[in-house]
Amino acid sequence: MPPSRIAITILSAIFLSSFVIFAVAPIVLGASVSVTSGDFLVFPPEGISWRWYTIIFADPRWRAAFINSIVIAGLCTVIATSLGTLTAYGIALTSNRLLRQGLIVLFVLPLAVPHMSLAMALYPVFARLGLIGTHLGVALAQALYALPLVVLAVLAVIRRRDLQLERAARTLGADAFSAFRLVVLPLLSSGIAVGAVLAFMTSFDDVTAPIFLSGSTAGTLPKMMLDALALNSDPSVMAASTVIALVGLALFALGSALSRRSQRSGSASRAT
Amino acid sequence: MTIVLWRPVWSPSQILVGNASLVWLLPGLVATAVLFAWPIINLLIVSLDIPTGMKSPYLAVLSEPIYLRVISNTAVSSLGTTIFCLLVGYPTAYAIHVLPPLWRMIVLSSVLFSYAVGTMPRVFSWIVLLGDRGLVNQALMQAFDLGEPIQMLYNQKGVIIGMTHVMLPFMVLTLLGAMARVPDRLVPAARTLGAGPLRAFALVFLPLTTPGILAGMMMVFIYSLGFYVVPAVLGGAGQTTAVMILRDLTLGQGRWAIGAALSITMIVICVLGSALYVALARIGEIEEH
Repeated sequence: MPPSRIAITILSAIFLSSFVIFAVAPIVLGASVSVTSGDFLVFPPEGISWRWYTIIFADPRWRAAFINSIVIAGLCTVIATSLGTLTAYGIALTSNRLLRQGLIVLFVLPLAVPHMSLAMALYPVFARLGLIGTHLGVALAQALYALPLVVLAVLAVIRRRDLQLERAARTLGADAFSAFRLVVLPLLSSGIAVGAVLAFMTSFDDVTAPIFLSGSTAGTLPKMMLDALALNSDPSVMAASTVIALVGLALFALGSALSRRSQRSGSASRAT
Repeated sequence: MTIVLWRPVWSPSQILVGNASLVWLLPGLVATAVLFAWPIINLLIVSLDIPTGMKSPYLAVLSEPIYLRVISNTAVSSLGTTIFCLLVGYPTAYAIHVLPPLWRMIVLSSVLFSYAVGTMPRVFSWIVLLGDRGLVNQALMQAFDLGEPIQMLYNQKGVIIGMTHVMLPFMVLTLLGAMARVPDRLVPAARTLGAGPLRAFALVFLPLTTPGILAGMMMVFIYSLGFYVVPAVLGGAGQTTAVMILRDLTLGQGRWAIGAALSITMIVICVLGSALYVALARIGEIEEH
C-alpha cells in the first residue's frame, strides 16, 4: 500500500471511531450515573447501587408519572394506529392521482409543524372540550404527532402488497367490512405494527404535549424529569432517563424485526 | 379492464361502503379537522383579532428586542446545528456507503442506537458529560493543563452539541439515501478516464449528492427551529428560543395574542421550509430517471 493510502486509512479509522464514540458513549456514560450510590449527577458514579431506581419506583410522584406515561402512550398508540391504518388504506384506494397526493400532503403536514406550537394551539380547544389534565387529552395531541408516521409506515407496506386480494374477497361475497377485517388487515399487519411502535415511541419520549396539556394530574415521565431537574438535580432523573432509553431500544428492536419480516414475506409473495 | 355497468349510486350501502375511499378516510379527516385545522385556525384568529388602536402582535414580534433576541437565538442554534450535522454527517454517511459490510453495520448501528434511545435520555446524558465537573471538562483539563473548566453547559455550546447529537441520525440517513441513488459506475468511469480519487469524488460524486445535502440541511434546520427539550435543558437564560417562551407567554402571562403570533410565524417558516425540503427531495428523484 502506498503511504498516502495508509494515511487515509488511519485518518478515516480515527474519524469513524470518534464518530461511534460521539454517538454512543454519552448515552452509556449518562446511563451509568443512574446506578451511582452518591447524591450528585457526576461521572464517574461513586459506587454502585440501585437506590435511585428504588426511589423512582417507590416515590408516589415518580410512580404516578410512570403510570401516566404508560397509559397515555397506550392510548396514543391505539388512536394513532387505528386512525393511521384506515387513513392509509383510504389514500391507497383513492384512484385520482392528484387527490391522492393532496391527501398525503394533508396527513403528513403535522410533521412539519413544531410540536410546541401544536400543543399550544390545542390548549384553548381542549380547555373548551374539558380535556386539559386528562390522559386522553395528552394522548390525542401525541396521536396527532404520530399519525403521519403511522400513515407513512402503512402506506410503505401497501406499496409492497397486492390489494387485488381484497377485490377477490369481495367477488366471493364478502362485504367491504369483512373483506377489510379478514383480508386487508392481515396483509398490512407488519406495517401497522411498525406504525404502532413508532406511535408508542413518539408518545413515551414527548414532553411538549404534557407541558401544555397535562395540568397537574396527567404529567408523564419526561415532564417529571424536567420538573425534577429544575427542582434538585439528583441522579433520579438519570434512572428515569435510562428507563425511557431501554423502552426505546426494546421497541426499536421489535419494530426493525417486524419490518424485516414484512420485507422478506413481501418479496416472497412476489416471487411466488 | 373493469367493466362499468350502470348501477344506481344512491343506495345507502353504495354511499357508505361503496368503492369510494371516503368511508376509510373519514375518521382521519375528522381527527385532522378537530385536532389540527381547528386549533391552528383558532390560533390564527387569536393572533389577528386585536382591539382597535392596539399594535398587531406580529409587529411586536418583529420589532421588540426580546422577541428579536429569541428569534435570533433560535436561528443561530439551528444554523450551528445544521452546519455541524453536515460536517460530521457527510463523512460518516460516505463511510457507511463505501465500507465493507461488517464495518458498515457497526457504524450504522451506532447511528440507529443513538436514534432509538429517544431524545430525553440523550439530552440528560449531556448534562452529566458537559458540566464543570463533567467528563469532557475532566479530560480537557488533564490533557491541556487548563486551570479552570470551560463552561459548556447552559450556553450556546451546550445547545449546539446536544442538538447536533440529536439531529445527526436524520442527517446521516437522508445523506445515505442520496448516496445510494448515485449510479454505481459513474465514479469508476471517471477514474478510468483519468481523474484521481479526489477529483472523481469532488466532480462526480459530490455534485450528484447535492440534493441530498440540501434536503438533509433543510430537515435538520426545520426540526431544530421547533426543538424544545435541548435548549430548555442544556441552554442558559441567554439561549431562550421561540418555542421555549410560548408556555410562559400564554399560560404564565396570559398574552395569547403575542404567543399566537409567534407560534404562527414559526409554523409558517417551518411549513415553507418543509415544502422546500420536499421539492429538493423530488429533484433527486427526477435526476434518477
